[in-house]
Amino acid sequence: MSWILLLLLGYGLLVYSTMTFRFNGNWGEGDTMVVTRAIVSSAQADSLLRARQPYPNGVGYVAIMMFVHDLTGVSVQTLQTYIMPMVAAMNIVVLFIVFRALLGSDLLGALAALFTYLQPDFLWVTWRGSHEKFTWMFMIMGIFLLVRSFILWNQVRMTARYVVAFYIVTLALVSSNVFFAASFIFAIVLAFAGGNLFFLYRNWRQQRDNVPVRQQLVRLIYVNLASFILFYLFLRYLYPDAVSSLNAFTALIDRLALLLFGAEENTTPEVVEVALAAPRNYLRISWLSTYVFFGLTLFSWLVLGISALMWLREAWRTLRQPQIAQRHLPVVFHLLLYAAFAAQLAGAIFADQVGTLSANLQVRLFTPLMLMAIPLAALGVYEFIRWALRWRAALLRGLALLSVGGMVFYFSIAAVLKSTNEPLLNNWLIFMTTPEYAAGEWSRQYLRDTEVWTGTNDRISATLTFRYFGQPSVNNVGFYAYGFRFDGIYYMLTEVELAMRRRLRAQPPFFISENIVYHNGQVQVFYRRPQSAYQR
Amino acid sequence: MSSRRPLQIALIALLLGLIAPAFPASAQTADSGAPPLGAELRGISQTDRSGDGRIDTTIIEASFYSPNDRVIVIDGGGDMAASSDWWTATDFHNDTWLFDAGGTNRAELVIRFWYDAARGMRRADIYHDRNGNGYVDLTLDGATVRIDEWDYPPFSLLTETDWTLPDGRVNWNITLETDGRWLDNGLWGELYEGIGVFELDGTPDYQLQFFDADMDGVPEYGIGSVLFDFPLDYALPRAAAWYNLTQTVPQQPQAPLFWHFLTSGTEESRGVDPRELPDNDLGKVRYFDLNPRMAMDWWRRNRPGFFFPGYPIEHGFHLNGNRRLLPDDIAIMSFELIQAYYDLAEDRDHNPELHIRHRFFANGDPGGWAMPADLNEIRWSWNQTNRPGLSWDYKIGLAGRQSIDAVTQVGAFQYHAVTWEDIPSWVLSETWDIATFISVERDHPPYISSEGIYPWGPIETAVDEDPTILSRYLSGQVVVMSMANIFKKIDNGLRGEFKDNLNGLPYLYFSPLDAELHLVGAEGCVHQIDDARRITCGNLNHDDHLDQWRYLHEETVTREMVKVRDLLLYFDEAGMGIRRLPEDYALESFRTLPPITHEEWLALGALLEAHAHPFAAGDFAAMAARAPGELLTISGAAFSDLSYADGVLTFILTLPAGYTASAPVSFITLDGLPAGEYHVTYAEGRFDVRPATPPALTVRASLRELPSGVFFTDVRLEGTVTVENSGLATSPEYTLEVFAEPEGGDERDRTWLSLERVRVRGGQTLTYSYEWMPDQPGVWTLSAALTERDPEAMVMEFSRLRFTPASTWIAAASADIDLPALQPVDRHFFLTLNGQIPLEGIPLLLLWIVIGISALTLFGWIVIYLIRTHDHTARRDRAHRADAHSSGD
Repeated sequence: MSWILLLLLGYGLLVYSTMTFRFNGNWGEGDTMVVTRAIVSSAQADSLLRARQPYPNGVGYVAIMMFVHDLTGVSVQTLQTYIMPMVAAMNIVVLFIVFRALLGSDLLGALAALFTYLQPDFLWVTWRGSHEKFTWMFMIMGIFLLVRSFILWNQVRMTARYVVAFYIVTLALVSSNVFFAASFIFAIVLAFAGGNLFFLYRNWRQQRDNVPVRQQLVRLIYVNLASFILFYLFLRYLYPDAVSSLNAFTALIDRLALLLFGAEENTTPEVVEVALAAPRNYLRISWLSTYVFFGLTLFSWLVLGISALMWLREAWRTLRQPQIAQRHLPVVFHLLLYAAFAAQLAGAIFADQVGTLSANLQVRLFTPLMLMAIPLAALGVYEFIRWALRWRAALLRGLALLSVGGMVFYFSIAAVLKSTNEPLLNNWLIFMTTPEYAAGEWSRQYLRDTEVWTGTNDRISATLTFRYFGQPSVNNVGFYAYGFRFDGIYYMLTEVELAMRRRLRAQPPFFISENIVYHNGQVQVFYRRPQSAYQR
Repeated sequence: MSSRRPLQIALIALLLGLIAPAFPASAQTADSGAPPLGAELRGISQTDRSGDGRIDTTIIEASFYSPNDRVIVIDGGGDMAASSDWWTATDFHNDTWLFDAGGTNRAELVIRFWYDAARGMRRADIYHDRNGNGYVDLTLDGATVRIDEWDYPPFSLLTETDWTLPDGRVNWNITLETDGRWLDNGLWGELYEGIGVFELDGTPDYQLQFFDADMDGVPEYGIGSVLFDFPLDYALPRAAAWYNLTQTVPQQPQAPLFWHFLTSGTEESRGVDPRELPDNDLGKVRYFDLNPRMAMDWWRRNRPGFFFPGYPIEHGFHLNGNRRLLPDDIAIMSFELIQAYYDLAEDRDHNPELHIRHRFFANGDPGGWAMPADLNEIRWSWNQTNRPGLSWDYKIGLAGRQSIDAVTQVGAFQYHAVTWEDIPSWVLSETWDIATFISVERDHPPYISSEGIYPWGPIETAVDEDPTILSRYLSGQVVVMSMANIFKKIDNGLRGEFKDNLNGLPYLYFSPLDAELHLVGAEGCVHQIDDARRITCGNLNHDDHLDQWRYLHEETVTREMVKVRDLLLYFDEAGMGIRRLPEDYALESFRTLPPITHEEWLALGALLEAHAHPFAAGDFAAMAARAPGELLTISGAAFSDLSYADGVLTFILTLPAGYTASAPVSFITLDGLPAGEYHVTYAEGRFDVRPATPPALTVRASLRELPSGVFFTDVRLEGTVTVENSGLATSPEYTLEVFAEPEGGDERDRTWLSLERVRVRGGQTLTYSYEWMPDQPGVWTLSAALTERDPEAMVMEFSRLRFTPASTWIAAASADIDLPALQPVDRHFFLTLNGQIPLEGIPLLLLWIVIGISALTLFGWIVIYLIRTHDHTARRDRAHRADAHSSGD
């Protein structure tokens, strides 16, 4: 198997390095900025708790980054931009191990791991500079350790090792992001509840009880309790700041949504959220067309569809199976978790509708559902190929295989295009060009005590802010994006911004007739004419 | 710690049991020389706790919280006298005092008196409950008291000489130091709790010093200093000072708890005993009336506080700054440079009649959000009627950008600020940028405050909950479109006026119309009568005087009064009046600056009294009735949509059915006009009255090409839309929808330029201009339509920005322009980005293909291996089954 692992690793590195070098590291977005700010701030304070601008939802990733930064001396920005995406590429090994355990097959595990890297949302959240590159791995490792402890339930010492490892990983998950951890714990609660319902029905149907399996299910409630205690200890004693971020939400529905569905701080301004909340608007603003969006995300929809079918089939089989052996427990647990995450996603969509957290929850919960869906989908694809190979018509057989292969070829490219918001197809750009960077440098050098508006979205402001974290701002110059502020004096207008607006058929900024104070061919900086007696 | 508690309890119990019979209980003798006491003495006993043959412990049975309280005084210097008089037996030099409130055999408060040789000062270390068990954990070892609960004393009071002067009065030369968590001491403690930097480490965090240099029992000043360092942008004070300018002679403590600096009391009472209060009113206590004191709240046990009672001072000042005051330094401070109080009435009634607060933030000071300018804010409040208490009648708020070079001296300390003596004249000699004026209206209860009238600070007023906006506006960072949007609400009973770009002094004038003081040049005003009613003002001709008043009831204008040129118009529920004023009629009876001296205060009072007239708020008819000149009144009539521009007054006159007019006047005639709406203009002394024909709206649109000013488009377009009302009646409010679209385009190609609410007066023409860049060549059409759609609902969702059928248009117009070819913004641009990022074009496409091939190859290998493995396993299983079958199993 080692060569498969190496190939998978090689593929992961190829994908992540392509994403990184697509913009040569000149990219930025809100979450990356927030997390990087927390890392730099913690490094400056030499403390996670006393950082001026902490990451309120967890410290795990910040701590790791501080450690690596201290150890290597590499700047936080370089780590976030170049090094950590490569580390995230190695997650494919973890995925392989976990999926192998869930599917009971090395090769199916490898196939599922490969499929995960065809899923654009997973690539995006693990590539960018957020904690999610570790958070999801902690979660999936927790699932693996639970599964192993189920399989080895009659080998006490081995089980104990896995149980201890599970709680260590759970603590890591909690420390990485308390809200994601809460949603995971809640998913286990749902799995326990769903499992009991399932076995109640099954026992009633078959008129007999599968006691050993139910006993293992009962373990889930202890797992829950212990995980919740870890969660509480972390919130209460280790990192009380996380409680304050929960307290920021006054509506009960929002607090519940935070804990049960694992949302976190939303870094997109409210006005943009409102505009993006309507799916039609999101598609119109972000993508060239609806077809482009669905074309790039087709893999995810297929995975959802195939996995749902496979789930139904496997659930039916489990229901009808006269006896469920201990070794089948991973399958049962996998099915239960799939259903639990699907229920959470449904709940999140509901919470998004009634709460005030805006369109955030459903996006966050898509990834864990996909992580459970992909192994089922991989199984489904494999079984489809095996079925197709039995077709008598060679042409049909060939076409089927060619189609599957073609789709894999296409999905691998689509995943990269989608996860990098490829400017060919997407209007919500995340990169910054060299002339834009030069204009930012000029602003920092020659302007004073001001903030410069940099465009419709935060690609420039986030990237520049990200770059300058930790560097003393002699002239006190900052950057902001989205809507104009009425206190704005300096505005940056770039060729890319105008191109984006033309493609969106949006008006140019109204300051077009203001004073131009900087021009480098592709970027202009405007200074607004004085409008009050107090301006110069 | 917990293992020591039984020991401690047992020791105290044992101590009490052993010493109880040593001396019979006796009351303190009357001639002992002891100060008045805030406790009832029940008896005293003494014992030798250490067994060395000398008395070392005095037990005072007293009632200060319950009938069973005790104070155990343990000698620390071998000088305890055997006496039944507590004053003789104990001292405040080396004894340790354990206060047992309620006779619990535990000490709720411990004060250890000792001499700190290192600092050369007498010292009292004060300990209270810290861990929440209600008492101080301590160990008694012989006559030695060890405090287990504290590593360092949380409070220490120090003096270089003694706690009292030789004549027995309180010595004000004391220093308070606190260490660790701040407690309720009324000295900003709660502000600093949020910083979380308090550490009980033996280093004081806060210091409060009082100075009585000539030792006459009358302190000169006090200084408070935050000793620990924290960032300036926390915007918290570091220094405070109080100056006893008038040499107030403090009264001696009337109810101390044995020690002159200890009392019983809650935070609310600030440790002040009712016997010390004038008229039993804590609100009448002023700085330096009473000595600072530690007040122990026995009712809540663990909450002592250190208080400097009284606020503010009748004639003197205090300050709060964000830099420390240090000897041999001239501090450049920001925040409240001075809170100055003046006894304008010269009545020494404990209440100042003038208060000036000077808030200052230096250029770049992080505490003031690092504004790029020196920003000054003045709150000038005065009590013109000398109503009792800390009552204020008027306030002037000022904002300016002056630098402060003057130096104020407080004892041995100096800082940059205008002095108490100079600040009134300084304020009235500077050029100010923004001014507000507040009047507490006659029919409203007195405005009571220790710091003047708060609302409508010209810098501190928050805009949309953002407190930085006006600072940023004044320092040129922001533009505020309208002061009227900022100063639009005020507390009930207050009238506020505002003026931006004052560029001078805050003169006030007295208007004969409403018999009130007003700010010269005010742009507008708000008088909030009660929750439902208010009056707003305007300045139609932008001169020195307010000339428009609107009376709103539940946000509906029910009365209005306007003074334009020589006309005074009003309407109310009864009807309307038009008065032509004499040509020499002035809207100003007198003009003045706020008073500085007693004489000016008296003079202004006399002027106000002489011109006073008790109009009810919003009684415009009464005001008009009192004005001179011919008056026409029309029952039931009203005017609306009044405007004044270029010397022409225009309004819509509504005459109801059956209206009646007063006796004819020379300047206008109604000539039996029938009921209805009339368009009235007044110019050059003549009225023109015409029937208000219905609104007739016309929209016009035009397009023109502008010179290129941007990168890769060579076309910019300017669209101009005019909306004209050729009727004489004002139009309803419509939405002006303006968009541009290319020929043959659909909704997605449309560029929206405006969704604006417009209302057009009769004969008015509104003009709007828009700029945009078309994204394709060919014919472009600019369309403008007036509709009844709600623009807010439209912009909430882009998809609703749809073309509306022409049948719903109120008026519409369009204009075309044919554009030449544009430089394209196509896929090539986004693929190459004109070479602005490194990975682009063909190499990028190749890289994507490599990824696809890699994924495909990997997938193929895995699947092939899967199938092979599966087939192999199946073959093996089949072979096993065949073997089993052949072997007969």
